[in-house]
Amino acid sequence: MSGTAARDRVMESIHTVLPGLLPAGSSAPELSDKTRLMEDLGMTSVVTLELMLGLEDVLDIQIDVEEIQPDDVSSLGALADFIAGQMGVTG
Amino acid sequence: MTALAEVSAYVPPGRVPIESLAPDLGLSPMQLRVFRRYHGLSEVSRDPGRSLPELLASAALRLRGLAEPRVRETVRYVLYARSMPVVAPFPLNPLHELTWRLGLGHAVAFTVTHQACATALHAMALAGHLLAADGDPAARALVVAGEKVYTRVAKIVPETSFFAEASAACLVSTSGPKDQLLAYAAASRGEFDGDPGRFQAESAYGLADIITAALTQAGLRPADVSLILPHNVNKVSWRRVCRLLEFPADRVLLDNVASVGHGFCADAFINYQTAIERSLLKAGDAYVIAAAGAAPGATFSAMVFRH
Repeated sequence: MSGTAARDRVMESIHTVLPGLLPAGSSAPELSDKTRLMEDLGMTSVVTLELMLGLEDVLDIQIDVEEIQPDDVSSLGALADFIAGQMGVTG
Repeated sequence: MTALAEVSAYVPPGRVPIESLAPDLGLSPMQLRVFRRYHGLSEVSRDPGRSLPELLASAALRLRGLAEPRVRETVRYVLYARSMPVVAPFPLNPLHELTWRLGLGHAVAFTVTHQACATALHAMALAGHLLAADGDPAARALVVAGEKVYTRVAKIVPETSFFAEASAACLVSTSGPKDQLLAYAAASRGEFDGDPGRFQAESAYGLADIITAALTQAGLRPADVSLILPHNVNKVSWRRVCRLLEFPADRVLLDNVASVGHGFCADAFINYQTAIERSLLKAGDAYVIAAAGAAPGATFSAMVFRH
């Protein structure tokens, strides 16, 4: 799978998993590469870890959270880049 | 100078898997997965057959010094380092019951709290100050720690850890050949009050900063430290602290996170006992005790000792 295809697959998975982790009753936000997890979605670091586990299930991969840097979870786009990188694809 | 004359810990044999706590605490399967996979939590110690005074006495009675009447007579202060403001219904007084059990009715006994799980460090420092003011080089203070999971807030730190029933005791002196206190740094951060998300995001920085402050006070750098004895909240937070400090994670004693859980204010002493049992400290080693206390606000504390 190419890097672009993998990243697209990761973003699709984020769109699938993320709404279930947001507070009940919150309106479905517009999700894009630039959406910030904490500032825009109010996600805590633990909910971010729940997102990782959900993505692992959907993508059937294991994410090495030891490698995560704060910038990797600053936005959905950054997160997609990080996870696509974990999938070991080259662009 | 403050020194630790003797340290003991009691970790009960009983354990419950964290999954068994889920119904009572309303935890989802996903939350449990996060706790196991990322936080490194697995089971927590429980001692349902012991009351709080019995739990505390189980550690205190392991101190060889307290078995000697002449040492007991030198204990001027008993400090109970506590995370929770309420540990027993009125009019029970677990601390006073403990002092009677230990034959320390002559000592001034009081509880130290308000720094949550960082309170043990404050209690040790306070004990040292009281003894220094006392002026008798033979005087001792007894610091005890450990609590029962008495209320809901004493069972879980939301999204962070599970509390464990265990206890510890420490005889503090103003001099001694080992475990000499080189530095103590603490920062109480009221801005975290009511903002658990911010605390989660910034707590690693708070701990790394206070450890650095304590080491600077002691004239040391992270590379000079043989071991960090952490609070046992979880593994993922300490890995972040290690990255910030550029300190090897295998020199933070985290083994008790999975097998014991977070023993309120007793963690440092539980980990100290483990370090001694495994010969992880040799004479002259510098080691750090560090903890964060949450709610209300947050306190980050660190002490540097010479073993």
